[in-house]
Amino acid sequence: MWSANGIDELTVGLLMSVIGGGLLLIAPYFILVCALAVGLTLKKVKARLIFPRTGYVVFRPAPSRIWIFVAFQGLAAAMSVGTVYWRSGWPDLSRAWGPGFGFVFAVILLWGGVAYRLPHFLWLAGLSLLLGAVTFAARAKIDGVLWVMAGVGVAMALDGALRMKRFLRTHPVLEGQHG
Amino acid sequence: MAELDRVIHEPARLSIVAILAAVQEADFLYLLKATELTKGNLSTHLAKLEEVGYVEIEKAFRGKIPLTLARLTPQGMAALKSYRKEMTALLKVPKRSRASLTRSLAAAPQKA
Repeated sequence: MWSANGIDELTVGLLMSVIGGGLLLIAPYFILVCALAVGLTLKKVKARLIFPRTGYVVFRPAPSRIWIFVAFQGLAAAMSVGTVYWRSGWPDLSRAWGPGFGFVFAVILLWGGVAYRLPHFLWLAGLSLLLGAVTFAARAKIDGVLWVMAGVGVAMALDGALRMKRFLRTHPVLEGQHG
Repeated sequence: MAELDRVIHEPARLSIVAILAAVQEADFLYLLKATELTKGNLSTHLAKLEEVGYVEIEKAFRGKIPLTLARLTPQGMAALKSYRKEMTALLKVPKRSRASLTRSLAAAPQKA
């Protein structure tokens, strides 16, 4: 299975934690430096730990319809939020940012989990919903999005790290396999 | 019936070409794991595919480790598509023959 080594979850999780955490701390340079460090480190990890076990492979780019689906979800969420703000007579729904983002992200994870048969995405979807509800209860406003992003990111990175640990244990490096 | 491409028709080579059709490039180790062939077998089949121009082989080094990268050429991709089309046509049984085959099988005495 392509996700067996956990590197993709680790990458996305770390980047989400960095972006969410960096924006919460209002530290754009922190995001930039950390994102670059994450990218470079994981590239080295792939070259030194993953490829000697699995072999080197570059997959063809994913079909564009996946991104259409994701873009559609994002657009729908943005339009909903925009409408709420445009109609000034409506009640203050600023607390809906966290649960809204949590919901949209949960739908994406759920879809990914079902479409690509990745059951561990289902509990991440549940966590996204839960964190959204927590930010609502905690009366967080737009920073609720960042808390959800950072929380799901940390969970995803931990999941990826555990999967990678298991993968490294069960897949020893085979010497002299390059023909 | 069109003649099947014997180079691709061989199961091990079909497996290599099918894998390479799904990726941009892969190294020898990846192909070894994915096809479950032996090193010698894989080398021979890759050489044959390279000889007919279906696969492009690039020899490189990652540090001190030799790295053999394989890519499917446009010619190889076209050959795979053509092979798939021919096999699909070959396996397509006309509806009438299928119904008659089903009846024959149903009428045949069952073994205990």
